[in-house]
Amino acid sequence: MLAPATLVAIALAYVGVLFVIAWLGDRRAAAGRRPLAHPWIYSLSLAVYCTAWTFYGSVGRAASDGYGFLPVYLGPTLGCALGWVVYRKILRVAKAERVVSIADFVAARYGKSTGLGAVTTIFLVVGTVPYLALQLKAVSSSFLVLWQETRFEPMAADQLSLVCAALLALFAILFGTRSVDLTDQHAGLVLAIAFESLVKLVAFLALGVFVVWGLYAGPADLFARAAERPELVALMSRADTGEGAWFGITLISLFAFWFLPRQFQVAVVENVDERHLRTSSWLLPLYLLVINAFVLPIALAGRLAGGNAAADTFVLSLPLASGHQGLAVLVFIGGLSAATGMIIVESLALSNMVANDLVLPLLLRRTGPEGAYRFPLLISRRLAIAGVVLLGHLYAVSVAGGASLVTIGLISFAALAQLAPAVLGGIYWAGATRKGAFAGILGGALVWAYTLPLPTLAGGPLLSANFVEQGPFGIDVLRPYGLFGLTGVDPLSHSLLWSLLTNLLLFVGVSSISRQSPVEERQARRFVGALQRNAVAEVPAWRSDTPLAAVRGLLGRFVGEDRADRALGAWAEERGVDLERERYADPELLSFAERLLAGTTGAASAHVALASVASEHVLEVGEVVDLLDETSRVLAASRDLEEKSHELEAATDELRRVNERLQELDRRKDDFLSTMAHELRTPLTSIRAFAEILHDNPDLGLEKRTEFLGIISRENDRLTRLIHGLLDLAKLEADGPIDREGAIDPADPSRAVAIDEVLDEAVASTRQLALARGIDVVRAPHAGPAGEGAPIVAGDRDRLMQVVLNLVSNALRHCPEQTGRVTLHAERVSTGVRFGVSDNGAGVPAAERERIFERFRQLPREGGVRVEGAGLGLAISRRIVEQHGGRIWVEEAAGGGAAFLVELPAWDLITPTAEGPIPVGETA
Amino acid sequence: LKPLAAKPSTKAPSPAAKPAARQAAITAPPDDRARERRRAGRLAALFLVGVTAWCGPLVHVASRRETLFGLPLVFLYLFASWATLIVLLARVLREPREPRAD
Repeated sequence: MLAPATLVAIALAYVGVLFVIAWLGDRRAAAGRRPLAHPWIYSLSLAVYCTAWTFYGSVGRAASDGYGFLPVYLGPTLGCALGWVVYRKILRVAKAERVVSIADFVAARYGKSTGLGAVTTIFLVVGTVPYLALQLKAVSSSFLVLWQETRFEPMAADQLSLVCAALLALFAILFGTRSVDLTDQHAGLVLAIAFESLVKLVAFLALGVFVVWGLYAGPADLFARAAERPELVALMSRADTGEGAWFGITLISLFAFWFLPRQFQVAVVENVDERHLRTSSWLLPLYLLVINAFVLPIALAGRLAGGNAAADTFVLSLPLASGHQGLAVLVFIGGLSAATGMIIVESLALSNMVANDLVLPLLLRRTGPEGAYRFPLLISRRLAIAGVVLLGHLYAVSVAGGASLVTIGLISFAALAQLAPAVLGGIYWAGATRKGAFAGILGGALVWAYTLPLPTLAGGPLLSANFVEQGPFGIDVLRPYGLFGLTGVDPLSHSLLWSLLTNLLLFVGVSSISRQSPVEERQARRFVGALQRNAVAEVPAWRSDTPLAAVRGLLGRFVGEDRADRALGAWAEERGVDLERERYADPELLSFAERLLAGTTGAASAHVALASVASEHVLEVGEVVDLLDETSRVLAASRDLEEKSHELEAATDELRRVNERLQELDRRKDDFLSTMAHELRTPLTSIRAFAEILHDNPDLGLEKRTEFLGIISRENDRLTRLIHGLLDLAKLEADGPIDREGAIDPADPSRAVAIDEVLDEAVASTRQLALARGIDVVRAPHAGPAGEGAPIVAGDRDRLMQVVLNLVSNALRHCPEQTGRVTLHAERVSTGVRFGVSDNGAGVPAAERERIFERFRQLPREGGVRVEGAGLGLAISRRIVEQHGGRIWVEEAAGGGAAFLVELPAWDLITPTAEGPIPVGETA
Repeated sequence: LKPLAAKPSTKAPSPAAKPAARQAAITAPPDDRARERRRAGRLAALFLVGVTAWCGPLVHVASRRETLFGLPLVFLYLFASWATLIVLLARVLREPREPRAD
């Protein structure tokens, strides 16, 4: 049997071990070794997240609510998944700005605002002191459980709680306030916390193994036994539990894991290497998983064992009931470690806030830096630690009544979530303003207070029990658990919904309509751009007319002469400045001094303190212009570059197009050459063959001889035509288009060509020849209304004549003899002058209508016989027409056959002065 | 001769087509920046996987009275998904190997 004195001695011995570890750790650190260099120590210290709540409360919750305890650990796991992305940014900012607490972080981001720091601090103290009180209560009640078993007269719980509080406050004061500079890591303290994490894990696992394999034959056995009890089946399978606050708890646990004062202390302030986050992001979730694996089995075993022990103390009553006192003591020590770790770090973190963000600003405002110095920071912090722990003790013995560990813990977590918009918005949204953050935190905090902690006081001396049921003064819509008629939700989700909504709305809304001060703007840039490599050039924050001695004096008083001298010396050396010769502190030095101060006093107080000796830099018009100049120069340079790049791209594009065109031309030239060679060879072969026959057979009959000579002569003609055609084409190809602007002089009447005349002439010159073959060539009358303008075009009359003759002879070749009929016509159309030649031949198949304008392209006559002609006429015609800016095409004529049509710009449309403008509507 | 102009080429992507992409290529981050960005993407994905696994309908579906290996189905589901997520986190967050000496 354990005597109370033995138990107290064991507890004291355990705390003594902590003192030794912390002392050794500090000694190693002082000796220049780095006791925190290993990422596992960092990860274990983060497990300060697991408090008495985890150790006693989770089992209690699981015994009544099944898996309800789990989201509290799933949330941090999700937080760890984002740790390397989001939390690393917070860490980076905090290190750069020498931020020393979460309240300091908020204050620093929003313009080093003392007001915001103070409000955040008060809110955090209010929100977390009950949580701290619960730890003290857990320790004293665990004593009581052990004593009840030993049937000794229990010492009063209040006294026990007080002794615990005093011891832990002493520990925090000894190992948490050694250095005035808060950015110095408390190596010993962190080592002790890591050790505590290990102890509570081992203790809980030992209990878990004992319950599952000692009391039962493994997990399957335990679950099978529990399955015989209907009320436990529901717990195990989660089948009957609603979703409840599952999602809400996951969310607030994530935020709590990031923003709880003690988490911020170990994760950010005590962090020595950013890369440790990489390990902790999977090691901590693993720790949480392992420590939670046995929660449900222990809870089930506790329920199965029956008895009247409270579920929160199953972990102690189970080993005691089976007579394993040693194990019970181990579990007791584990619970002690869980509670003490939390109390130590939490009180340290809270005291830093209270001293820096509440007390110091008040002193500075009242008495200036002189007065503030008379009340040294270290003393202030030590008193704050004692105060915070005492507050927790008072809360524990007076207020905290029936509420379970988990309930109070969750209320605390919901408070922490109110910091999320301001902190996360602060590092991702440069437009977030101080007023926005202020409104958001204040609004969220008020709604939180009204909907969560306030109702727990109902039925007490301050509030009537009706408050919860009927709302204040019977106003139904203000019921704290059913605000504005929102019912059917559990109180936690209900509170979260309203408080976070209010918070977010106010934060975003007020930020959008308020403006940032210059300090805020600078801080916003620094926080949001923290992960970017190149810092933006900054406007100096301070004016350069501050005497160096004043800065030195201020630093010396707050940070200590030695430390200030060392820091300034290092700074000067890095920059190659000789401080002995300087009389005034330059703005850069002042910014450095401010950051140095911030590590001790917090950003807001540092700003106020420095402002008492230096004057803040106010942007003047000239500097703004300079800044703008610089910016616009950079912008212009980048714009130039972009333009150049675009130009290059355009040039490359053009070159590529030209190259493609050249290749196409080359290919066409090859085609042309091979076709031409073929065309030339055909008549030549024929001529040569017949010439050889004539040569080799001198005795050939006259008839034959005449026939052969006739063939030779015809082929010769064809060759001549071919060559003429080619020469024509070559000449046309060589000419560019007729420049209508320049080449056609409106005053030069010789360039005006009357199409009627051309057609008449063509008819006259071909008519006789055609009649010989029985083909009629006629002019059709004008199609348009009488009295319209004559179809006159601008151009080269001879060339156009050539086009018409080509078309006519083409038509003649394709007309049937005796019945053939070729019609020439011309008229004005709205777009110019159109003329054409139609025949009543076989026509041109639709597929061929474009291709017949290619060189050497000929339609086979019936029976596959090639028609006489070089196959160049249409190609030449098209070329000429195109040079005149017109187009040529073929259609099906009215009575079958082909109709070749040409359209050219009208003379009067090009040169309106020649004949006066002709309204288009009348001529169409 | 047919007019040769304006025959849009479909081969070889036009350099003018993607000035933004080219710009990005010019200011392309070195290896570690690209790796960090990939890592951030994977971590965000794991975060979403966790949210889906624990805060969505899946956990509700697993909440049944059946057991597997003697363990309640939802117990197994929650802890197995948790362990899987931790393994994946550890993999994604692994220190980059030392660059090969070449």
